[in-house]
Amino acid sequence: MSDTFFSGAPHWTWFIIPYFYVGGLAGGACFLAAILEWFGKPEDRPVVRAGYDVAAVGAILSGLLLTVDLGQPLRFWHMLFQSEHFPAIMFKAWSPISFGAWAILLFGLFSVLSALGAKAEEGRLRNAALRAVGGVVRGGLAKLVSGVGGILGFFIAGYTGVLLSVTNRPIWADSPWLGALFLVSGASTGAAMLILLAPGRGAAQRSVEWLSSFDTSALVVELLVLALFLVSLGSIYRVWLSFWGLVLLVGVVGVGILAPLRLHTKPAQAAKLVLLGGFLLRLATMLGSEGIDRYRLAAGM
Amino acid sequence: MPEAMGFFTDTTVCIGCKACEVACKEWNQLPAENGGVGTLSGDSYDNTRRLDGIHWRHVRFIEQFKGPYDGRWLMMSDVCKHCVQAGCLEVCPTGAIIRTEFDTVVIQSDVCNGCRACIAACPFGVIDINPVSGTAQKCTLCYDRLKVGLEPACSKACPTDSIQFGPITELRQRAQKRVEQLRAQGTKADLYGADPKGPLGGLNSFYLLVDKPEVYGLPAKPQLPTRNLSKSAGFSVASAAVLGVLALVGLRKHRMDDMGGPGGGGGGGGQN
Amino acid sequence: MVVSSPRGHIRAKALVTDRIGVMTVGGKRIHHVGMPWHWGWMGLSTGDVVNDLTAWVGDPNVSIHEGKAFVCNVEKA
Repeated sequence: MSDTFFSGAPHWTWFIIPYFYVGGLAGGACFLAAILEWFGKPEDRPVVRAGYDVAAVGAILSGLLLTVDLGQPLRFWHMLFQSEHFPAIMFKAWSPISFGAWAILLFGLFSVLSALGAKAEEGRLRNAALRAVGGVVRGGLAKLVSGVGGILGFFIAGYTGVLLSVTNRPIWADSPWLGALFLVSGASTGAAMLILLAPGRGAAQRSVEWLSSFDTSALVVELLVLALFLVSLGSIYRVWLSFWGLVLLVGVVGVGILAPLRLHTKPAQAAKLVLLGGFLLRLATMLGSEGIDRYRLAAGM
Repeated sequence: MPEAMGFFTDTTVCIGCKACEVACKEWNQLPAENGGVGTLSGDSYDNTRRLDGIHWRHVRFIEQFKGPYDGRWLMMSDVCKHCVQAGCLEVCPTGAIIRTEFDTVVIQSDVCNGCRACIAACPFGVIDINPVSGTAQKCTLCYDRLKVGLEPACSKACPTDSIQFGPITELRQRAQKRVEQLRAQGTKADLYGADPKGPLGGLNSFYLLVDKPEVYGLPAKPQLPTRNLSKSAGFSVASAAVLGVLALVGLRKHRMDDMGGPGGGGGGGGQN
Repeated sequence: MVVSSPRGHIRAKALVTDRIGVMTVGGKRIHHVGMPWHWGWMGLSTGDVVNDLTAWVGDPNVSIHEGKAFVCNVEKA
């Protein structure tokens, strides 16, 4: 039995599982928007704008979910500044929760700036202050903000998996592939969300096709990384001979990856399945480990 | 006394009286579980079940019987190990967890915001949230008592001196002598966490055990959570790079398709 | 469980263990029941009083029941 089975469950559940999902999705969307901001054509602008909106909303929602999950939510700022020596910065480069807190803050800032810039471009900002801010974010600056946001987005999607690995919990600390898995899932769910939203924002067929083909490649990579993850667990694979293993097999692999790949000619339908599969991935990997509690094992030893 | 202090727990003389649990709860004013109405676990005499936010000492009872009257009953008082290299301290994002001048590990309750990173990081599953404060709490090795020259409540209360408190160097010497004494009697005894070159750089609350650590609910080779950081981060960056390339290649391919599509203008490809 | 003797019966929870094992006396398997704490109905941790099972013969000085070892019956409640 792995030594990870002797640790205690942190109960990162009802707010954290949605946060991992939303954060990953938002990060993936921001990355795609940044790619198109830098290398896309004018016809791709609707997707870019949709991407920024998803990223900004997702980032704000993520911040809220994380804060509410804390045992003392009003002390969320203790992760950013040293509470006893304010305003000294609190930052530990080796602790994913520490650098993640800063990453969420910065990702939120950059994605909101990009979204405001895009809205200003469309002339849709009524508030004068917001219009002023949005007006600054254009041209070269827009590209810079977008580029940083895109990188931060991928960071947000992947660091959550790294965070789970930097623990002593079963499954999470038994494999180095969770970060990569969550990142790729963030990319595929981000693309899926944009496939569903972009047509309503006036996106060109070509843009949606690019999103769809990217989603297909991302799903293939996701399947590969999932396989690597399972193999890396070695003898601990036994944890998947359970309900969560079934969810992983049927929900994540079947519904979330294989079915959308088969349905690649119907991007909207495939996208919905990808979104479901991404959520089930977070659910299965999180609750699969949370269910292993040291006290239950110890009592039975 | 600015030197490393801690516990040496000789489990062979523990009588399972739970005075340590009571003393700890009393000194630290920890709330009772379930309003004080006890619930039976069915696991020998252990109704505390685990260490958590309101149980900072936990006496384990391990019955090893092959038949009627044939076997032995192991008892051990579990507590925070105050690791020399502490996983909880490593990951704490608020800096609430600190190392004191006594080389013990303490969670500052007014700084902790209850993110639970330490709970997942501890290899021994020692920490949990105290529902009253909403923050993570664990044994402080009675930091408040140490600061005024008293010994911790549990070691003071222990009637058999199973829990011994003192400078770590002295405790290690004492422990080694006791191990040799037991082995001379034919008992298989081992020290868990007494080796500064061992896992986590040694534990400032170390144990004398007569069976494998797993039997006592202790991991054989506890490790720091950051052992996984570089590999995990590396694979994430690699996958990000792969996706980036796929996205750009896909974009270029679509451009090419656009150029070569039916009814496309003459004069082949050129950039964008 | 319900533990009963000729004097009375009480309800208790059983902990099955080999620490107090089964004895074979005269070819018969005799189970050993230990009740280390006598309980009562005051306070937070309450339970039936074990002294309801023992003979009502008390020590002349402090009235502690004179005998604590006797035959009893054990059945599921």
